[in-house]
Amino acid sequence: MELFSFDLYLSGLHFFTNPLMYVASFFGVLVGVVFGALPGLTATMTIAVFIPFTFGLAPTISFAFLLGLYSGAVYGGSISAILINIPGTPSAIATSLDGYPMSQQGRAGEAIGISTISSTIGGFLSVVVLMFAAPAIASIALKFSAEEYVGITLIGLSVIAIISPGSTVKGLISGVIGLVIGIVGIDPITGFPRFIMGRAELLEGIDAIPVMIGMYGLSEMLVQISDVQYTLVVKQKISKLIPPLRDLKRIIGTVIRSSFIGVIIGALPAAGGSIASLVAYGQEKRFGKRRDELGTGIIEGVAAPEAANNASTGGALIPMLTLGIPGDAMTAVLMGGLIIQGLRPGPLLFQQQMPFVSSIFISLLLSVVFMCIIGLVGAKYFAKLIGFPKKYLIPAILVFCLVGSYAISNSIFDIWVLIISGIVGFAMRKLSFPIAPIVLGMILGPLFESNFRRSLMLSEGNWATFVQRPISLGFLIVVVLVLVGPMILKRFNKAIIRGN
Amino acid sequence: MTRKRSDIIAGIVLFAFSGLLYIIAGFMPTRQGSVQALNTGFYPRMLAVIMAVLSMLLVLETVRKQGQETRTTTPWWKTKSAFTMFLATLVLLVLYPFVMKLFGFATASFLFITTLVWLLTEKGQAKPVKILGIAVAITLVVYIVFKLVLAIPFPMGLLI
Repeated sequence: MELFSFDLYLSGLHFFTNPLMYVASFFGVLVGVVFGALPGLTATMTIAVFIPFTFGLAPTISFAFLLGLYSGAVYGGSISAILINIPGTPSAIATSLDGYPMSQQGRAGEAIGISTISSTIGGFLSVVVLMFAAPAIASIALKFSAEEYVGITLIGLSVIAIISPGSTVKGLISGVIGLVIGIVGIDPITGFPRFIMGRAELLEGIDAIPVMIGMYGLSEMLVQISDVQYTLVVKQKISKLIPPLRDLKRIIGTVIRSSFIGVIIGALPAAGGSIASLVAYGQEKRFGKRRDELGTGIIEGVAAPEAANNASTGGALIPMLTLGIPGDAMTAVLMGGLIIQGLRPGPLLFQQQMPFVSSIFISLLLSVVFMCIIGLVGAKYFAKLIGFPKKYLIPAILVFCLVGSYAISNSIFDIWVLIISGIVGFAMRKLSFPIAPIVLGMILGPLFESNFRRSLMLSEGNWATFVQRPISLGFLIVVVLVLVGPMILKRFNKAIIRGN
Repeated sequence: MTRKRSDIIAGIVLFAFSGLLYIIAGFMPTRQGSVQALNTGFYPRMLAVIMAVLSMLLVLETVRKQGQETRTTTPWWKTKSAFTMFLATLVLLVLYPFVMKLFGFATASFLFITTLVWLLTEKGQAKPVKILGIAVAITLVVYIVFKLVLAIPFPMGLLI
């Protein structure tokens, strides 16, 4: 494959004239912003719950909707972060640092406006980077063999274990539990059924979608059910949404810098929007012109994280599309959506499904445009939705989870998978085991297993095969650094402190 | 139960689970003389070993943590209303597939939403008309999306 074959971009141009793309993207963004803005409904959960809505649709239309959800939910989280100091999604945590003080000064509209514009620019830059970086990386990835895939999968799992809040050991355990879920079903090499407990439904493995809906949707609702009593009310009037030109000039440097941070961090395995936005905010605090005023409610403090988290969306899609290795929980769920459409992400996708890949670029671009329009026009109404009583919201989402899980393969069995995953997810949340590594492990499991065993088969059982190939060795060194590095740094710091 | 104790228990349970996984994987067919990785039980066994090591690390890590942390808030299962709500929701969830098979998915959804909204509403504040109205509205959305637009074949119940 040539590095920059223009066919890739041209083969999907006709999608621009397909009105369904616009409709799907518009509704995706709209639903995404609403769910993102509601506290407690994360972007990951939103995508998981809505995947069943996209079954009957063509893959291109389905992804126009899902990518709209993705961009919309990541952006929507900022609305509640600004208005009530509760980030709607984890990636909006940094936004509340300056967004909420602005809101307290009566400048909520201004903050939402800045957030919308910054998210739009960040999202736009990420589409551009995705368009050029993804085909290049895919052409490199074509040369990867089974050993390299083993290495990349291990990087993904170890990074997500490290960055998940709490103990790294718990993160790793979650990842292994995900891999264990992945062994249910027919052995890919010998054809022997494993752990199917006599159920024909399990022959092809546990369906990832009901598990994801259970872990993210159902278990989150079970957690929230114990504290539904309070109602949030936003009384503030939202005005001055469209920022004046001088404000735009003031933030443009911040926005571009943060967008690049966002794209790069998004593209790293397992580091998604929440890390990107925190790092961008941190950079602003160190290098920004008004670093001393950060935290008091200045527009740079909203612009930096919001540009970064939306910029990370395109970045996070790069490893998912080109290698078939999702960068974080959100893209893992999106990958689940691809797989049920019969599409296997990876370098071959770029050769065999050019129009589809091309349509992904277009969908992401459309979602950025709609995000800007919907954000600026609709902010007033979304602010009112934040007060929507949870006693109506929780039952509605639970029914979506139940019906959606059934609809994946018209099977009641999947409802049971959903309920069990929901309870397991709830227990894990209560024991502070992170959920994201399970989802990643489960999605990566089959791929990891077949590559791992294939490598060993070809090398006739010689484990050295993983360190004999230079790229594979490099990946394994990264894994070791990721897992051991933080520990060594900690010791090192302690030693320095003691030395002083 | 403190976090420390629950972590140790979790570690032990996971260790037992990996032992079980290891034993079951041993019953899977093997081929004499060929590469081990070809055997069906090889990969599950490998995961079992990794999990066993990690669960022991969890126990060690927890034991080594200095100082017993004290829990300031009441655990969720001890506040009566939270626990009752949790149990009630679980019961409703488990009943859903049965009601769905018997009466159809729209009826099941309607009953599920009505009951749960009613349970979540503070005592004395329940307005039956409003609750029923909301339940009908949500059920309608689900019905239109899944039955009419996506044409999912739901089990034929006695009702809809």
